[in-house]
Parts: sequence; C-alpha cells; structure tokens
Amino acid sequence: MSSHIPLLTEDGTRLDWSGALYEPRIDRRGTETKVTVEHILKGATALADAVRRDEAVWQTELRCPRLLFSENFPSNDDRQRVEWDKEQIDWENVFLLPGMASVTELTLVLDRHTRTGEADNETVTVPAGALLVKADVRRLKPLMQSLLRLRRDDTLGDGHMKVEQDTTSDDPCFVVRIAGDVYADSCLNRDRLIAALIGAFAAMSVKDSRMQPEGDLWDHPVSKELRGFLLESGSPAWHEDDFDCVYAATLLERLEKIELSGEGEDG
Amino acid sequence: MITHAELDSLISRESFREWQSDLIYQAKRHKTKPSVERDNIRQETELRQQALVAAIARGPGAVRDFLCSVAPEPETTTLLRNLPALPGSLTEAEMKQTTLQVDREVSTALDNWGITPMLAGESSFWTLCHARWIGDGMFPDGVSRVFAGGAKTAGDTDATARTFLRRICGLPVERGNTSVITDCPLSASWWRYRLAREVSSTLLKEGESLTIKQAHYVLRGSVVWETLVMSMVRRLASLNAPRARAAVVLALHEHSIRNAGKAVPRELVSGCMQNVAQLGDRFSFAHVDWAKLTETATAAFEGRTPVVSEMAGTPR
Repeated sequence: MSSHIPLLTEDGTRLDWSGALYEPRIDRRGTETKVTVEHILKGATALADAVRRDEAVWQTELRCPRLLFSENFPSNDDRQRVEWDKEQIDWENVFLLPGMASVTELTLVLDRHTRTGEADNETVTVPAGALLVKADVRRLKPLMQSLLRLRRDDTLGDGHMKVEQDTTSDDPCFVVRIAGDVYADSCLNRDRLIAALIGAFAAMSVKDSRMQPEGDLWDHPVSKELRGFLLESGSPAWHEDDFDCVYAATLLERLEKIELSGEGEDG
Repeated sequence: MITHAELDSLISRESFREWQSDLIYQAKRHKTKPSVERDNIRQETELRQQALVAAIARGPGAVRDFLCSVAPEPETTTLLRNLPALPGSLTEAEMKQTTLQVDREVSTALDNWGITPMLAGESSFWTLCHARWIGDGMFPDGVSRVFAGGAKTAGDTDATARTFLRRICGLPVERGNTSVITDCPLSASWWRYRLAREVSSTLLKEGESLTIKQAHYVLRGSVVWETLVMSMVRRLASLNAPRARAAVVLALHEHSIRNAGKAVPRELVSGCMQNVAQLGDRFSFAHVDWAKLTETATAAFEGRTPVVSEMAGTPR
C-alpha cells in the first residue's frame, strides 16, 4: 500500500493515472454572474466511483485575490453551477480552479500500466481533503482583454498607436495608447486590437520585460495560461529565440476574412 | 448607498489611475521618453503637487474641492452627500494606528450604509469618502498632520503628495492593488475588522475559540497585516480560503501567547503563510482535516517543513 496521493492533472504532467484525461469546460453567457462548469473525466473510473460513493466531490474554487475572496463550490454532479454576487467580486480579476477532492479517507486502486503494458494496480489510502483531480487555473476575463488596456492619448498624432508594458499593474498587462481621433471605436475594431496584441507580444519578448523568466510576472496565472496556450498551439513562448509575435497574436485571435462586396467584381 | 457600477460611471478605474499618475512623477513609466519630454512631465507634476500642498495649507474645504477634481462636477458633489458619514471625529493618534473600537465603529457605519467589497477595493471610493469626511471636519488635528506627514514632509512637495495620497486612498499606480487595503488607514480598518469577524466565525465552526477582539489583535500588527494582504493578493492567493487564513491567524495568536504577547517576527509570519499555502497545492482547504491544517500552520514556528511534503506524489 502506497502513502502518496495520486493526482490527475489537466496538463497531464503526472503519471498516477495512465491514460486518463481531465478537462473542465466552462460556459459563461454574456455578462451573467454565473458559469456552468462541466468536469469531463475520461478513464480513471475509480475517481468517478469515489464521487458516486460520496467519498469525493467535484469542486470549483472561485477566487478573487484583489478583494481577498475565495469560495469553494462542491458538487456531486459533474456539471455544476457557480454563481457570485457582482458586488462581492471583481470579475475582471477572478480565477476558477476546478477539480475533485476527497471528503473522507478513502482507498483507491490506480489503474496503471507498466511500459510493457502489464497491469500495475497499486492501492493507495487517501486522506480527507486531498486533491484528486486538478485543472489549470482559469480566468473569467478572456486573455486578449486581460492583456490589453486601452487608453486615449491626445499627444499622439492622428491615427497613431503605441503599446507599452504597464509597469504598475499586478497582472501581465499592456497599455495601448491610441490617438484621440481613432480611440472611440478602437475597442470594437478587431484588427486594431490584434495589432495591439502583436505589440504586446513584442513588448513581452524584450529582455527586461516583467514576463520574462527573471521577471516578477513570469509565474502569474495569466503568463502560465498564455505559455500553455502557445505550447499547445505549437508556438515557442516569448522568451524563446524563434518566437514570432505576429504568429502568436494571430494564434490567440485569428484574423478574419473580409467579405468583399460585389462592386468591382467581374460580372 | 451607491453601486460599483454607479461609481465606475462617474470615475472609471482607468481615469482614477490617470488622475493619480498626474500627481506622482513615475520615473519608470517615463524612462523611454526623450529627456525634454521627461522634464516637462516632471515640471507639470510638480505644479499639480504644489496645488495639492496649497490646498492642504488652506484647510479642509480646499482639500475637499481638490479631491472632488477626481471626477466631473456637479455629479461628484451630489455623490458626496450620498456617501457614508464617519461615526465620530478621529485624532492623529487614532489614525496612526486605529484601535479595535475605531475599526468596529467605522466598519459598522460603513456596513450600515451598504459598503461592498467592490467599492472598498476602489481607491476612487476612498478618495471621495475622504473628500466628504475632511469637508465635514472629522479630523480636528488637521489634514497635514493626519494625512500628509506633518512636519516630517514639510517643504518636500513630492513626499507630501505621496504620503497624502497613500493615506487617503492608497497608491495603486506605484504600489499595486494591495495599497488600498494596507496604506489607507480607514480602508484598512474596514478590511481588517471584516477579516477578524470572518476568522472568528470560521474558527467557531471548527470548534476553536478566538474572539473577534483576539483575531483583530493579531491582524492589527502592521507586519502581519501587510504580509498577509500582500500574500493573499499576490503570491499566495490560496490563503484567501477562509479556513486557510483562519488557521494562519490562530497559529499566530497561539505563538504570540506562548511568547508573552510579543510580535511575531516577519520571517515566521511568512513561513507560517507559506506552509499553509503549500498545503493548498495538494489539499482542498474546504475539505482538509482541521487538525492537519493547524499542524501545518504551526510547523513554521517549530522550524518544521509542512506535512504535505511527506505525502508528495510522483511527478513526471
């Protein structure tokens, strides 16, 4: 019998449950003050059984560090609703941490296999409160919105824009200074936002950026989420030599096809 | 009362930061600009700082008007009348380190008015509250002594402006999101009393006994308050779980009792918080055994590493 606690992580960095996969799907409609979290578990049937036997629960922690807030939402159902009071938390700085935890001491049989394919079923005793399944941290605010902070700058010439790292923010964030004549509709102009995103990726790739490995924002959940996204999409991260800021930006927010009108087309 | 959306429509977080940035010369922010431009910005900032210092010298009415410039008139004046009143005037000494009684009275007044965490987390809210309170003459020892450093900063406009802003509403443009909770005494007063209440009631559910007064006493120490808030907002955000912070406060209280009420050294405060946060990497604070949680919190005072490390799994 083993004393270590088996853990299934979304990023697959642990070998406790070979062949098992976990992914939470989070659905938020518009600006509603609630989300639906669907816990999708493939394999590791012992974990789903533990929930059925009331020895474990699915859970989502809703955390807003800026307002010193955290609340845990447990559920016996793999589809749960998480609701909040909009005066209690700042949705722009909210993190969701989905997963599963034991609620009592329980015994698990790990369905593991050796490299040669033989069953290596180990029995472990898990104490109450142990995290059994853990997702990557999610933010409610979409990544592009998190990274860019638009500001009107009347000192810039007509039609100009500048992107610089926000040196005062606790989060990875880039101030996009936009000339007064084009500021008003900028937040609605997707191509302009993508141009700003390219600028942001360029700014985070410079050596003294706070998002570089030596910087104070390297371990921030947004930086981690962004690195995870780039890795998954097959792009180097911003601290690597072959990083391409245009490619990274258009991975995050694709350019949209422009539908040309019929005028001028051959007839 | 007002809602956060109403405050935001009057003055957004961005506009507030711009207003505050105009009063503080931020060398880092302007370092890439040409030196002529930097000099201009520095001079303009100094002029605005001088206007603030002059307002402080003229007295409460002038300071109120200066603070109201954060948002457009006449909406600001109307809003000011709808903000909560302070329950009583406060002296320089009380504002230096607020007592349990002050924290309780201020919190009760603000809670009865309908303050929410969203409002209490906004520097603009505290700026406008102070505009009202200063205008109401609630600080008889004078704005300069209570908020701007008095004799310590006399003759130094930059130090006066920074001290004043820090104490009125926090200095988020320089010190981040923790500033509004740690640097502004009356904001800290509300947040601290709220946490003391939460800690006491969480501990009661666990069969422990720590009164609000005792929890408040632990949180009142500036080292504990600043380290805890900094950890919760920035590096050890898992400590926001109510059971986690209750375990930390209880451990600090018990350590202090064992050491004749002496303040807990900063490294032990940090160690205790780190131990508990580390437990949160592998355990859910909502479900972990209370005994395990308290044992982890107190391990720091005995020079022990957290129990969780003994139960680590097998990383790839």
